[in-house]
Amino acid sequence: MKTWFSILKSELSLIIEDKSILLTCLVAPILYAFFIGSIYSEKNVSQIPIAVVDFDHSNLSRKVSQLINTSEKTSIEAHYSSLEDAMFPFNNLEVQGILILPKGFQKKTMNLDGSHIEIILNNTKFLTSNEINKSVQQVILTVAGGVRMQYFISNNIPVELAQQKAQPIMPVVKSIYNTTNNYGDYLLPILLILILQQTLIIGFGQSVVHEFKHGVLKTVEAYDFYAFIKVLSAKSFYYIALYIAYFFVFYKLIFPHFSLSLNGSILLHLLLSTLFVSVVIIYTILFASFFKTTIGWTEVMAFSTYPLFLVSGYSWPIEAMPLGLQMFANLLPSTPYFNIFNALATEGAKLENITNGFFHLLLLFLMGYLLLYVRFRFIKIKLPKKAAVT
Amino acid sequence: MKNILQLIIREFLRLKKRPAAWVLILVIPIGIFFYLGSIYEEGSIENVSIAILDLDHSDLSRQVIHNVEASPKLNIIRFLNSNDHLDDVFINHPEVKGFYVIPKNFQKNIFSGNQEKLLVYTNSSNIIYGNLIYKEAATFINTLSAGLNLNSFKLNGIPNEKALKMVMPIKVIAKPLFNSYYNYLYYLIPGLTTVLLQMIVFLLAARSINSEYTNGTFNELLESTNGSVFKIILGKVLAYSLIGFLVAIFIFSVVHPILGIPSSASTLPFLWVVLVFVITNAMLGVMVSTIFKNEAIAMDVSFVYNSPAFVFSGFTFPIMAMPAFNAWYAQLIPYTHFLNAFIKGMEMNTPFTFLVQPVINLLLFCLVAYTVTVIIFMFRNKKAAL
Repeated sequence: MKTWFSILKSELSLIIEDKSILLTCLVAPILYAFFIGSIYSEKNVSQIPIAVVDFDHSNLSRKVSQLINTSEKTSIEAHYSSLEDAMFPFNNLEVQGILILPKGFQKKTMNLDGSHIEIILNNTKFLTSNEINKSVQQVILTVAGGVRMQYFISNNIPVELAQQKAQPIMPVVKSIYNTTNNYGDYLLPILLILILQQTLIIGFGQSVVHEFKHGVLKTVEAYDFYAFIKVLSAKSFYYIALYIAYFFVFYKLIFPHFSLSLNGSILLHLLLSTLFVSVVIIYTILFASFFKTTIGWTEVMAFSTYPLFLVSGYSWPIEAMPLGLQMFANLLPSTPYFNIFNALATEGAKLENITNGFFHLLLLFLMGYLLLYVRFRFIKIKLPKKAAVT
Repeated sequence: MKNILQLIIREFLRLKKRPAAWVLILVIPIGIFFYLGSIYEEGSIENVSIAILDLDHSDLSRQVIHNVEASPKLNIIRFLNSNDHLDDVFINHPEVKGFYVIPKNFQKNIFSGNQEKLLVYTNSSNIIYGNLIYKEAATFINTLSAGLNLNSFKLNGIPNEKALKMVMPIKVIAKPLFNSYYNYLYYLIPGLTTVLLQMIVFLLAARSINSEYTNGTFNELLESTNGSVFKIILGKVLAYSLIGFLVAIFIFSVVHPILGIPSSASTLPFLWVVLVFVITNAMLGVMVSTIFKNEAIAMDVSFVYNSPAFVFSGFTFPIMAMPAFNAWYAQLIPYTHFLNAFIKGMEMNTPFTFLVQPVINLLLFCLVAYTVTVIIFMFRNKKAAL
């Protein structure tokens, strides 16, 4: 039986020899972080192209077009004389919406006869469709407020009071933690953590499969549970240290590089990351023990990214999922970790606010350990007995 | 032809011996596709928990609360008081996703003809909730404001019909096409299933050539085709394209209908684009498999290339908002072009002419991948001959 340190030493040699593990655990995390992270460096979408069909050709219709064009989120790509003409760039995805200003728009509006405008949205992509709709609604609210104000002024009400009467209640919506409500600040922090999780699962899993197939665990039937855990803890030690270092680099270098907020003590973050990495490692050992080849592991685990992320409750609330999936989501370390990370890093929560998430992770760690024991017993029963190694 | 058919059968027999291949061909389409669909089973978020801080305690503020309660998507779960620190509401009560603040003297100011503010705080660390509360709040407050205006106009003797038009002098008629109910299931699942289709075909094909070297069967393969590299490539590409095409048919005829995703009238005519897409990925996979003799490295390269395909495709975050390099790189992934064709052909039902460009782009991938593969084979043969 090898000593703990000799197993750790063998692990280091394996990583250097096995180019696949080297690529996955040493190159991919940093490469992915910058490569994928930079997609969201602009943080939000702006200047979404739309087309305008102006049947009115009035001062007001031109003013509305101009206001929509100057709003941050939308940009008028071109004016068309008919809806049929505007449908061509719309169908070709060159514009994401068509604004139609009907004939008589100015006349009806100024006479307070009730007018309308139409906005056709390409709703195959929600982000752009929502932003166009929001921009147009805001512009029209302002214009409509102006029209009402003109009515009050014409009734000899002073301008200042007319302004207030035109909109008796002003909505003031304040977005907390992500003040501009932007997509980058929302998604990127968790995407970066997901990169670390996935590279760890694939890279460390390859090493575990290798250990079962060619390493000391090839003769696992001869081990007792203590020896089994000794081998795995020595193997895991390097990955825990490496990934804690990654978390540190991400928090100190990559988060600031993409201007992402990271509230909370770095020590607390690292402590929680260590617990998270440990749970991921235990689960990885458990699942990798069912695989026969490292390539097979990579081949299958390549498909785990979306299922693990989407069920975590970060992008879609867990409460909106079926009960079975809610239970499954709570068995995954990413679910409580994404939650407590978000509370700490974005919302500035304190340790006492995240105790539930912390105990959830701790419970998953203990459960993983127990399952690993069950799995070990199962392997022992299945395989022929050999002399026990202690 | 017989030779090619034999090659295809041979490839299937080789796949049969690989358990991971079975996972990709059967477990992913049957298990993962339905699993992803069930995440979004509800389609949209129907209930958002909010809190209220009423500092006015007036009839009008109670009316506001009553109206908020009547809103189908907002659910008041907590009433805050003046001792609650507004900055800590979301931390202390994580179940609260937003809160309304009705300021002191709200009723008095409004009835005096002065403008008043209604404050809405959203926890935008999750923008889905943030956007939803924003949308609900803006609609609600503008309706409330319009109601007050309407009363004021009617008190001034303006007839109801005219007053209504004055309250809302311009109406915006928004027509969201192709997914009118903002259903997340309809929005995301077609994208996720097709991006996984790309991965299945690519990853399977990425072990097609190199595994022949690993198993020492490459010479046998070469002999069976009388040394024809073209036949080897064709046989391999057709085998994986066939698998991919069957998975695609399963997606459109079983997965999407069972999940309740509306089927498109263009599904059948669009299948030929799907065929080009799976052929492209099979060809790219074969190319990677030829370049990297080490199967593990080929698999890693395929993973690195394929796993970000969804985020680069512009499906959730538009390509036009990406920096130039990322936008350029997005064009180097076949899924980006397929998605363009998929949205136009399947979701928007546009005529054939709109699909020509993305299909040409996919065919270009095929051509480049085929050329690279042939060059590598020729180079290897030359090296072996020396």
